[in-house]
Amino acid sequence: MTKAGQNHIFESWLKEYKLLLFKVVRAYAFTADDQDDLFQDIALQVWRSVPNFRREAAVSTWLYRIALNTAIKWSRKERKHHDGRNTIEHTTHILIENADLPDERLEWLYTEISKLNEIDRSLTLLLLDGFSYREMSQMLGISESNVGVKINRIKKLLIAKSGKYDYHGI
Amino acid sequence: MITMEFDDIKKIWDSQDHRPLYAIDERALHKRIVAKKNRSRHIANKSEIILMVTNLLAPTLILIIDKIKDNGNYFSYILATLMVATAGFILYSRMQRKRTENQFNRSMLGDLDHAIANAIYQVRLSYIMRWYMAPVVLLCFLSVWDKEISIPLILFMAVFFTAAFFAGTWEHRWYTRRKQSLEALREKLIHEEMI
Repeated sequence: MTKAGQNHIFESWLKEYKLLLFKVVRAYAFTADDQDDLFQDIALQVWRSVPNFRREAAVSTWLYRIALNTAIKWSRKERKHHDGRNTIEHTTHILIENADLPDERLEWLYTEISKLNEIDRSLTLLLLDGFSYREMSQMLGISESNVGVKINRIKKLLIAKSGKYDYHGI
Repeated sequence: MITMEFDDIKKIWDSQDHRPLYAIDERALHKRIVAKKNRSRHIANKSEIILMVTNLLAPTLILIIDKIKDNGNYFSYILATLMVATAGFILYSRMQRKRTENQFNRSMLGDLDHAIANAIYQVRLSYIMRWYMAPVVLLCFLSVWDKEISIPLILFMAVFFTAAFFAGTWEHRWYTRRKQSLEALREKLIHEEMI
């Protein structure tokens, strides 16, 4: 594949599926600087992955797999090295957050997702975006039955948490 | 307690499909790199000026004190000469650095290369200055030794130079880490430039 071809595919993927990448960034990184860093890492991995894409899966599945794996690795690395010495002078941000959320409850939902462990967070994103257990199992390398058990638990948890959300009248 | 159904949660999730959470500022990365370049230039400028002023002021004071007390010796004269020569060397390095500033283009990679060049310069300067301390310390002690041996003065000098050495080591490491982070960003950018 030529560099021009790779760039063209990357640009079209970024244009069409950026929302998917944003969801992963939002679920795994919580400050503007971290969101920038993670987005850069994911974009870089997606660009590198273009020549390896074999059309055996949908592009969205392929991108989700890359984005989630990058985010999980990034998250583990960040946790390991986070010692307050991140003093890079980020004066401007690559990702500009939209001030008005389409639904104010979305903030609550992301907060609840962020409290889950890395694998459960990935499963929640995939579940909410309508992926099948089989696809989730392939993407995350865990058995379908295990996916089923975890999804069941996550659903129950989110439903229970939604009660508390409503109770506080937010 | 009222709970949502999972379908309601899904609807909340889907609401972001019509209005993305973020917009991408494509110029932001360049702005960030320009800020890094300006900062590295600012650091180099400040270090040069501080070092030049120090290396001119200290020998002037040494010579004035020697003249007043009329107890100058070879060591203090050698020390003063060394410091003035060092100030001259820093001035020459500064001119060389300034001369190369226009060689970098104004692309993202060019600005980053400029920032890295300044960072390398800074690392080299801090390295030289750390070793430069050795003859300065030696000459200081010899010049004092030759005049009058005062234990409190010797102790003060020992503490002062030890602290200066550790501060210099810390400073050198800080510049090295900064240079490495810029080089790592360049590695990333080489790929992203192709994007």
